[in-house]
Formats: sequence, C-alpha cells, structure tokens
Amino acid sequence: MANEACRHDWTIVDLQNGYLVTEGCTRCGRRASFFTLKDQPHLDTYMEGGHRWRFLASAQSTRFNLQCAKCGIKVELKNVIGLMLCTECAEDCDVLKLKDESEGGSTWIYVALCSDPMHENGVCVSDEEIRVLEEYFNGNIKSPGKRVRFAPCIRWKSVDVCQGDVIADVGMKEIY
Amino acid sequence: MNVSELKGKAELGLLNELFDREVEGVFISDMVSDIVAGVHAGNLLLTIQTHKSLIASANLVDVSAVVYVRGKRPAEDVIELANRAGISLFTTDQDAWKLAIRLHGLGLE
Repeated sequence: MANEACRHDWTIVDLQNGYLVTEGCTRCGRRASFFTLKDQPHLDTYMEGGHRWRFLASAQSTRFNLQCAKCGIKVELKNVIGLMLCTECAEDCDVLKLKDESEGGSTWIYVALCSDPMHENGVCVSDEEIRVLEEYFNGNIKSPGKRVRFAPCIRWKSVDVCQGDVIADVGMKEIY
Repeated sequence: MNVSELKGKAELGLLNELFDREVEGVFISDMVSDIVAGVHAGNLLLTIQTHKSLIASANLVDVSAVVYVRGKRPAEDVIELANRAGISLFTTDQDAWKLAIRLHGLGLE
C-alpha cells in the first residue's frame, strides 16, 4: 500500500521485456493471457483442468513495476499484463464512463489488461495499480490539458467486441 | 526547437496536420514496449514501425512528433489517430543513423 503522505514521483523499475501470449479453450471458448519471458509459446494444445488450451497469439511486450523516487515505496503491477488504448468502439461500454468523469481537456482512456479477459474469477487489475499507472503517466505528460485515464479490463463490455489498440509489438516481421 | 523549425532544418516531409510542439530530445526505437518504458515527454521519436500501436504508445508517453525513417509511411487510420492525438507525423528517406547525426548537429540530444 502506497504511503499517502508522500507526493510520489514514480519511476519504472523491474523492467522485463517478454511476450504477451493469448490462448483459448477449444471446449468452452474461454480466453486467457499471460506474460512470459520465454520466446517459445506452447504451440501444442494442452489440458489444464477441464480446459483444452490452444495458442492464439503472441507479441513482444513489456512488464514493469513502479517505485517512488522520494519515499521508496514500490507498487508491483502484478495483475497488469498489458495496456490498451481504448478506441471508444461501443457507447454503452463502462470504460467510456471515465470520459464522462473527466473535466475538459484532452482525456485519453487506456485499459489495463489482466490475465483473465473474461473475468470468470472476478479478479482484475486493482484500484491501487490503476491509481499508480495514472499518477506515473500523467506525471510525465507535458502537453497542456492532456490527461490519460486507466480502466481495469473488467469494466469493458466484452473481450469479444472490444476494438482497442493493444500496446504490443505486433507485425514485427511486416516492416519490410 | 519546435516541430515546425525542425521540419525545415531536417528536411522532413509532413504526413498529417502540423502540431507545433517543443522538441526536447530524440528517441530511436522500433519497439512499442521500449517506447513506453524509455521515451521522455517531448521527445522526437524516430522509427520504421508504421502500425497503429506505435501511436497508441507514443500518445501515452506524450512524444512531440514521430519521424518515419527510410521512406516509411503509415496507413490512413494511423494518420487519423495521430491527428486526434495531436502528434505530427513526418517521413524522410534518411536512415535513423544519418538523421540522428543531423539532429544532433541541430542541437538536439
């Protein structure tokens, strides 16, 4: 829990460059994502409990924690496996309410992604993780009136209809 | 130095609207994961990556402008997103190395 008396100056620590892997269950359609340092995802289907997982996609990504340079407190972003720019694709999506809550200026909404995009266990990115992400990125913005807001992915309408832009290195082989 | 000055001095081709922001340093990367963790707000970003995710990351870390080197050009939806984000996009036939030397000569670090 962050020290409330300190006006934190967050910096990125524990930076890991790895892979954001998404798998799907061929039986129930459930999707799951995870961050891994291994560059060889499971290409074979495998059983886990009642699920039969199959590889769907992989992209290079980054994972990090945030630490305050003043008081030394560290917040581990253990539930965050990726970030996504909300493209405001569905008016009735709960994520868009962040836009309504924002006062003027230019507000951009990013979604913090957890490993269970269908949220079967009800767990997602925590309020504290959202707060420090906002404090860190907004603390570095210099454009007047510009602000970024983060929403946990549990607030999105559905993983099936969401059309956001995930911040990951897609299409690296398509450069040339 | 601001973006409009830089456009002329470095002979950059503008691909969208000109958002005349202050340029504070240069960052060269083709990986969005690297950009999110390494860019400082106000940096000019040099890259060959033309996909939309790059603009999503550039916007998050508040870059001043993006220069696509070696003649790369993004698709129309990428340009549209950059316009909404207030990020000028440029293209140049120069490679990142030669452009970096030139930018350093103009006083950018």
